[in-house]
Amino acid sequence: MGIIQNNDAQFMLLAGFIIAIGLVITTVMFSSIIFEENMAIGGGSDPSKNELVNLIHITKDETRAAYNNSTASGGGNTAKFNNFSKQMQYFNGNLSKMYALHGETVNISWENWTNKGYANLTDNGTANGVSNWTVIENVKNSNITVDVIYFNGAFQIRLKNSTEKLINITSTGTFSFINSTANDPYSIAFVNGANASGRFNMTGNASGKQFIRARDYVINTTMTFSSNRIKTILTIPFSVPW
Amino acid sequence: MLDEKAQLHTLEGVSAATLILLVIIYAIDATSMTPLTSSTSNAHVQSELVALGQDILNTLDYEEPGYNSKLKNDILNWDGNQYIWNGYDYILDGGTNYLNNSNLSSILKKTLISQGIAHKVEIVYLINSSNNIITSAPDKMIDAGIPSNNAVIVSRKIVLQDTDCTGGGCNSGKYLDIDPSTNLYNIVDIKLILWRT
Repeated sequence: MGIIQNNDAQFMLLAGFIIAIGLVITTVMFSSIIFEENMAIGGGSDPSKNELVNLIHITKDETRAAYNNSTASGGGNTAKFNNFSKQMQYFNGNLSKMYALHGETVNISWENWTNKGYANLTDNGTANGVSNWTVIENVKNSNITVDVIYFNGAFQIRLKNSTEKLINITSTGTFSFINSTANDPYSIAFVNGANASGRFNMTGNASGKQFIRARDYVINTTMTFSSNRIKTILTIPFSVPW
Repeated sequence: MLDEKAQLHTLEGVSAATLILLVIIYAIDATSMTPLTSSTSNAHVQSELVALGQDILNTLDYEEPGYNSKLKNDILNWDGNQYIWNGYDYILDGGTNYLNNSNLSSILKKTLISQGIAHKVEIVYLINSSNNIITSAPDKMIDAGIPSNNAVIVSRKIVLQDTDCTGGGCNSGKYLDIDPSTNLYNIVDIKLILWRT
């Protein structure tokens, strides 16, 4: 018996085969496109994020250094702010050259802190900051000076270890406290910090080494960062001198 | 005249050619794909290296109020020489001294060396050239030859003050005071270059 030649069946088989290959190719192609899109988006945003973090960090460092330098040089508020601005301008101009290497531009501007009042005694120094906050923990000895310029109700400094000691500040003025402990380290916290504004300075020994925590002003500093992908404008309140 | 045999042969030829083409493409892709081949999988390797490098620099650049970060101390204490990995430690290129007391070298040993990731560290800073402030050419702190085409660069900038470079600071003698009239001393860019070997 001879082989029956059925051209229609061969056509159908071949057509099915070609459709199957076409489906595989289309699936692989779409999969690649979707993957590439995701990679391009995910990979591109990361470098800018780290650049911004670094920019904020060095601007904070420089703002504090310029403030410390300007106040150490003495003189009136105008002279201090001129010294501060001079250093910040030099920093701004030269930092741009560093960023230009990466094809990015930066610009930094700052406010005149001599015209604003001292910071609130909240965690970030602004009126809306957290009112009850821990300044430092694990302290063995400390020298605390608080200069309250504005007072609007109860404000306390809490020293807490196995016991708790509350120091009540009931008026404006300068207050100093020295505390030490042999083997029961304590934490220092401000309670109702939004009720007062002024300066504070704390030095001493914590976690086995010397520490300093201090704040006079909160300086709003604006950073503009531009790359070929993004332009970002950030205004961050930096606490000075630390 | 409708010749079904000719149509069938043509279609068979097309499908056979497609099959052969797919096999060739697959064979070429399979043999030339390595982790370093520029592809979607390589892009993934690169993003992992970037994240690792940034984490290293971020960790070292943390400081408490009143203290320098570990990274800044390393930059201040660097002697300006180039070091290479000798299989045991970072040793002076052409010498016998080791890169001691370096937080950067310690963390690189624990993270990159243990994973076999090649790396080099370059320092760029500002120089005063005929009263023009320009960026310097990169100075190598740690060298490891020429990076592959798929190397990634992560960087961290730090600011030096006049007070940082007194009493034995700024050992390298490379970065100088770009602005004697203020406390700003220099701006240094630390570049960490990573690649898979």
